[in-house]
Amino acid sequence: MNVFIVENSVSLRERLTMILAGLKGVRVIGHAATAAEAVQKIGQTAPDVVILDIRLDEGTGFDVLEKIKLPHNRPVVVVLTNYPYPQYRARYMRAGADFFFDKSTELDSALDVLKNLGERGPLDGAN
Amino acid sequence: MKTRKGQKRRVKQRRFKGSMTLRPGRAEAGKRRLAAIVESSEDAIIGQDLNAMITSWNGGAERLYGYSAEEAIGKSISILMPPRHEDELPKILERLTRGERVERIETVRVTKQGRHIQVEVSVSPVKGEGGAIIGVSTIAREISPRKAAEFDQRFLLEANELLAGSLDYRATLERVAQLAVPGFADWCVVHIAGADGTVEQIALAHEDPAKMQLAFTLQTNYPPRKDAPSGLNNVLRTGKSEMVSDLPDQVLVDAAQSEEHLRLLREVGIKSYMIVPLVARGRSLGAISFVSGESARRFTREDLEFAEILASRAALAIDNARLYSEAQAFNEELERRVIDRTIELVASNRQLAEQIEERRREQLQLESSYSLLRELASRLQAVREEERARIARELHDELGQALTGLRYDLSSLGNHMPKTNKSLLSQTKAMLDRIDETIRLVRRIATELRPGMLDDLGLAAAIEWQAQEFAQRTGIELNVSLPNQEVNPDRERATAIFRVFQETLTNITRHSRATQVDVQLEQVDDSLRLRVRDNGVGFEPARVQDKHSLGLLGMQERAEIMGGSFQVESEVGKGTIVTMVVPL
Repeated sequence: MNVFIVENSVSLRERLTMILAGLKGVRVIGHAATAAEAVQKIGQTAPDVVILDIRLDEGTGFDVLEKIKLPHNRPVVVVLTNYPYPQYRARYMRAGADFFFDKSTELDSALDVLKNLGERGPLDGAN
Repeated sequence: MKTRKGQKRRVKQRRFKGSMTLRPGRAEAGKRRLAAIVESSEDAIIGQDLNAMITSWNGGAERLYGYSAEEAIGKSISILMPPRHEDELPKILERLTRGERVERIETVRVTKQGRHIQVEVSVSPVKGEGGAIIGVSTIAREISPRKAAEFDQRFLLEANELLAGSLDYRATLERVAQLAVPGFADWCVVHIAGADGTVEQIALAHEDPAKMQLAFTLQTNYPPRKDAPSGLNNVLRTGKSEMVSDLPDQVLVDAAQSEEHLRLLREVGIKSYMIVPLVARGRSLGAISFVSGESARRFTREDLEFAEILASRAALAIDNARLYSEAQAFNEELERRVIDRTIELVASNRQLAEQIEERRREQLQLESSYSLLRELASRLQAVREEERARIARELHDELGQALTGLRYDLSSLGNHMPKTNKSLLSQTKAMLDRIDETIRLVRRIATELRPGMLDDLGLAAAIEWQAQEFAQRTGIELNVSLPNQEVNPDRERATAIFRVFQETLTNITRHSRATQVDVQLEQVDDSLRLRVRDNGVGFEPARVQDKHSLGLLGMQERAEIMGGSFQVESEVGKGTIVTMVVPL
């Protein structure tokens, strides 16, 4: 299962990459720190899952979410953010995100989702 | 009255001629009888031709005028005419020619002795053969004392009218003096005393202009002495009338200051005189002197009483005129003051206008400095907001991310710990909890500084979040109504509305004791309107002006900076409604 990480904090990105690498069947295929870079690379790499942060160096996760909602080959989007407020959740879920977790306190939940996804094998759609 | 048809009523007019017609050939006896009647008449009967030459003179004429028939006949009738009466005769002739009757006219004649007498004359034309006037016949008699009194009465009436009719008392008194002459006196002089003690002669009337000049010379060259025991100055001083019925020559001799003076005094020929003071309101204003000379009239007690009545009327007229002129002067003074005052007013008006202009300039300066101040305040607020946003972001993102990283590390460490070391595991768990707590704290501090939502999700989301946070924190029920469509005010407007909303919520927790708050954000035309209504205790808006007004002022300022409005409606016991409208 190919995972793409959109995260502007270098240290967190490295940690996440390390943590995710420890999961069975998960492969981190790329990362980006800005919205534009993320959209471009996701288009190129066609990951199964995108770990999406909200605050980026340039733009927001929302900009990325809007652009990667493709009719085919749509990745599972897991929003992992330090802005875990209901208003963000509603907005992102409405815009097509599949999961929404608090980056600090709900990492385990996010990892559980990834584990589940990996166990289910190749994905052909959300939910 | 019935009239017969076809017959005009004719009135026959008869002419009666009132003239005396001499008819020669009639009985001579009758003529002589007539002559005897004429001769024996008490009245003066004088005939004259058209050249004014005396043609007949009876005994009555001799008795009245002092001339014998021999002296008079052949002389001009003008020997009887006092000065200024010369034109009387032609006028009478003219009236007779017109057919008018000239009967009982009162006039003055002068006797052989130079005495002026008042007479009543009737004049009839004497006609010749063809009826043409060839002469006149005059019947004259001296006016009786009753008649004289009538004359005096009439004089008084006329004088009264004159005195009451005009405020120019000098001219009036001059006419009164003329009126008195010659009927009442041969001369009349009016003196007025000035406030400074000077005595001014304001009127002098004399039958004879030559005598008038003489009297004037006398007055000028020999002014009466101030301290004289009698005369004008004494009357002015005492306010009491003086009358001398018959002036003996010895008095003139005693009074004369020189031979020349005595000669003048004798020439003036004073026989009798009265000096009556002009007294009004207890003050001596002057005196009127009546002098008898040529007419040889001797003034009596009655004359004096008469003169005093006249004088009192004259004094009243003078007093009135003076009061009037004082009033007029006062009026003029008043008017002058009004003008002065008007000028002052105009000047002070101008000054006021200048002050107003000055104020206006100051006002403009104030306004411009106010708008500068407002701009500055607005800028300050923007800068502060910017600063808050920056700090919030740094706290939330930098510090927050760092804590997140720390948490990952600790979590990872915990995962690698031997599961058997319970103490270590529980310590790790406690640390994780503390890190989580710290993360929440950092998030709260950052959000309080400026919620990221306002920038990331917009105003509606920020208001919704704030309302939820408020409800959780305070337990007050909040109903939030947001616009169906997305509203995207610019950052400045969104910030202003959000901050006003926050402050309103703060006020609600502090003062209102509300249990329910309705929040409505909606777009009205081209404006965004925020309305927050609570069910709290409310307040009297007037009372709040001074108390919490700084907060309200601040909110108002926020609205006005963006051309919007801010309004607080409240009533004790009826809750409060805060409305903010900001044009988009």
